[in-house]
Amino acid sequence: GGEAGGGGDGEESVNLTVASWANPGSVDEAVMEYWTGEVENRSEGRITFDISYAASLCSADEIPECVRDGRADVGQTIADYAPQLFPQTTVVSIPFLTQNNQAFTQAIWELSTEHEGAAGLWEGNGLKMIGHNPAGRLLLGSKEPVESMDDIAGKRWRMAGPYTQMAIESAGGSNVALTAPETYEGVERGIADAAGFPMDGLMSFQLKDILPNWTDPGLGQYTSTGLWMNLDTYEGLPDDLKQIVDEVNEDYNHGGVATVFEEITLEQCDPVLETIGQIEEWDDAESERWREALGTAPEEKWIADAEAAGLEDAEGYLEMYKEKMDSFEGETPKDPSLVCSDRA
Amino acid sequence: MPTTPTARRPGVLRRIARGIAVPLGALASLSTIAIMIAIAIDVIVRNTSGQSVPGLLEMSESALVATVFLGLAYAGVTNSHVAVDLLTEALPRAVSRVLIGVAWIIGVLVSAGFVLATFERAVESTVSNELRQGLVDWPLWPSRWLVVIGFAAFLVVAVVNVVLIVRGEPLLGEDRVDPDLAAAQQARQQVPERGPEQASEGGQS
Amino acid sequence: MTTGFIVLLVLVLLVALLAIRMPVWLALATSGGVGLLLLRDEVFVTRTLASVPFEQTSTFSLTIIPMFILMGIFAVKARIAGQVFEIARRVFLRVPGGLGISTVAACAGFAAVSGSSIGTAATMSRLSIGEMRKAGYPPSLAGALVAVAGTLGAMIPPSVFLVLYAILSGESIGQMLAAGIIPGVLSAVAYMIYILFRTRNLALGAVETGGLSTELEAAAADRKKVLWAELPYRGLVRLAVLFIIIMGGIYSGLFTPTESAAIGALAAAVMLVLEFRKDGLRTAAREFIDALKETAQTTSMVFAIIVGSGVLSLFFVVARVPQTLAGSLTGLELPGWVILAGLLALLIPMGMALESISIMVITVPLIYPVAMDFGFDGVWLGILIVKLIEIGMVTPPVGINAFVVAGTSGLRSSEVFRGIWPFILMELVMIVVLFAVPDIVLWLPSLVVE
Ligand code: NA
Ligand code: NA
Repeated sequence: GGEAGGGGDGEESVNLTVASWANPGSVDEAVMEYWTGEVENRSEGRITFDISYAASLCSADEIPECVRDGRADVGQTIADYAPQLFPQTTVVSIPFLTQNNQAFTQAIWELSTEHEGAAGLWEGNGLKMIGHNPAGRLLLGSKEPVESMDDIAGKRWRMAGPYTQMAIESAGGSNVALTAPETYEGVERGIADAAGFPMDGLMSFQLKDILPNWTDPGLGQYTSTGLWMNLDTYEGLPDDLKQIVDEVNEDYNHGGVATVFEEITLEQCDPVLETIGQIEEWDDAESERWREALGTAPEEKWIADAEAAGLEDAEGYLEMYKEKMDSFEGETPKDPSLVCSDRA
Repeated sequence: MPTTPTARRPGVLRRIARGIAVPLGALASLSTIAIMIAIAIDVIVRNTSGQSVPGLLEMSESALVATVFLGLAYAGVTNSHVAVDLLTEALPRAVSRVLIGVAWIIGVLVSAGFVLATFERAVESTVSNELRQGLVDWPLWPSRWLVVIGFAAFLVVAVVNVVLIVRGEPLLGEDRVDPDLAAAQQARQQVPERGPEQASEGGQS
Repeated sequence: MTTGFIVLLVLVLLVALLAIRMPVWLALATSGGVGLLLLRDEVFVTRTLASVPFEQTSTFSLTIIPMFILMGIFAVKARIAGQVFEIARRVFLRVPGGLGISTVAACAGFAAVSGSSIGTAATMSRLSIGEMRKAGYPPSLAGALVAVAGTLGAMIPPSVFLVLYAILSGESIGQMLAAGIIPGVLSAVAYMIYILFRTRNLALGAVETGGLSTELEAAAADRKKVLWAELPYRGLVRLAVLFIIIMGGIYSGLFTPTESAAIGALAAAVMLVLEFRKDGLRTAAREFIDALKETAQTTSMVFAIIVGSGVLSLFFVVARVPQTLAGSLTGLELPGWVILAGLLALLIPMGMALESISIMVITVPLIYPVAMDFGFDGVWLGILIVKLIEIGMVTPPVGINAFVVAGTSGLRSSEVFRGIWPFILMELVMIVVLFAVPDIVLWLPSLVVE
């Protein structure tokens, strides 16, 4: 837990250890700076942070465990690295379901209390949820432009996670197993012909230099980064500090993180567009054709996986999630990746 | 390094340690071959069909865990873990045996710490069905148990070494004739002006 | 206790544990664990011991390490080194110092299929030291030459050290392997030139001077009659095949470096079976199984050290040692290259007393971030670090290659160490050259990417 120090009631100060997977210059680093900065400011320095970036304190897939057992007080990493811990957030992996990044963040935040099964999971896993934000819309990068299902067919794809891989198969493409950092070399050597990444990946893994054509197939968001606090650490905070953390979390989920995301994405936009020219969006009809070809198999798989991982009433959760997505339609600002592609 | 080749039958402790470590070492060797074959198959299949064989990447990772931890005790009983014998070689034998004994007593404690810690983690991983999602869902808990088995077998090696030190016997792996050193001794006999062999580190190649 | 004091305490504990002959991996884990216990608490230490062993091994890109080890051991057992040495022997027969030169050539050749320098030194020591001594080479020269030329195994790809550096630093494995080729070949050429001049002043047998008749010249005449036609060229062919597979992993589009290591090991296994097919299935199987056992031992030994140092490195992270180090060094207001040179120079005393893999896993997490802050190239830095670690393999009192040569040749290790110094001087000059002209290192890797 965090180390407490300072004087009596209302004076107590804590220093919290933070384990983040984020690399320098990434969206997630900016997100972490935003959240810790807000907490430090509003608590007038009574909460401070020792942040270890680039997975130097705990490896990327170990970070949730690190926060649970108290090696770190706060942690940030890709939720898919521990799918058994966060079945309530992996709903974003279902293709074509989540189009907007702000909508996802807000829906997961609201469902964490509104859906009983999800609330139970958050309480049971020893983590205080701060927020989950998507990594960005899935973009398809390739040597030749990929503007339809037929362009996907016959190519070898590097995709993240089983659901986008199902989508590739439904379009007649095949999947090769490469880790994200191996993708550049894998494409260069011809092990993979093409890859699916968010905009951040075009920069972080230098993929814009090797794959000249990028399109947005309309599949939408597909994975998320989570930010959590150790539950005991949170509950051990004095009430006034707890309230400050709660307020920052509310703001984070109601547009705060989306604003940071938008800022960094639009910053990345220019260098990306300079190299690859433009990010072409698929015709709606073609996206729809792909969605229909894929069918309901991913939803069924997700329900089975989520229930196996301990999410009660996963089917009901999915229904509530879909309703929220519909109700946010038009309410949330346009996704920054789309703004970027509009710019070209 | 004291390399007194003992002709007598190894004691029961040595046999227990070897009886545990050698079969595990054999499994470690097999998993090395498994890595080699799995990767080779993946390369061939990918270059002919264009598709990776699902699960081979994840299997290679788990096989690496098996090679490392199932081989841990085997490297122990063959005295293959490198150690620095700079000081212990310079000191009188009685003193150096005491110091080495202290090192192995601490070794027992730390190995026991590894066993308990990894055991707890393996139980959690099994209960939560920890997995890695790739082209297939690959369960991680079996390889976490391999880590526990490896440290437990090494703990046996460490305990046996402590007992052997107390009894004044050579440590595990020190009683076996190193083929390189035997060759060296032979060479010395042919060139009689050479003095006794100096210290050599570990028994690795 | 202040953090600074705890760091000091942990370092003292580490040295003490190493001194009482605790296995290196346990000493690293113990001192790191004690440090974490002092800085944090028991839960932190338990959870660290629970997670580090798995994290440091369950990674696909690390499978390249056992595959390189396996390939090297298969290649030793398939007698490739001996066959290459025999051919080199014939090629350099009439050159002054030809025996020493062929030894270096064979070391460099074998380094191109062996991932470790110890394997290279042990193999070449058995083959060449006896012959050099018969020809009149001082024992210290013969021993030191093999010990030093053996370190080429760590620089010329495949190399466990280059891979480990790439993984510790996050640099590309392919680029690191490509970067080792030119410095490795230059070093080999430097050793050969030294032998050429050194042997001029020695009263060597006729074979080595091309001079008057002894029984050795008769042997040389014999060689000339039989050799060219009957040389074991298959050794050279096999060496070429394995090296092409490794280069294929770096430069072609068929597989990654990690995969090339596995394919190389498979090819070397086939070569082993071919070499022993006349001796019957049982002999071939025995050699094969021995190779597997040796690989498992060595792999466990290497990864145990990686795990132990993972615990110690985590202590450094929690104690914020890299940040403190970088901060105080940048505060010195010295030019970046002076600071980097100073940090690299520390590797020489460390190399005298410590085992080579441990030096790499302890120092890279500390030096690499500082060098990046000053804007140096990570691949170039890796080659300098590996070069300095090579020096540590042959310097007394703990010089693993010198021990291996002593153990396999019957020389005293003090004798091997005595002949080392001129080579160390050459190595230092080489390092200064590489430091001053990074393009020597960076030209080949620049062809891999971009
Ligand atoms: Na090599
Ligand atoms: Na040394």
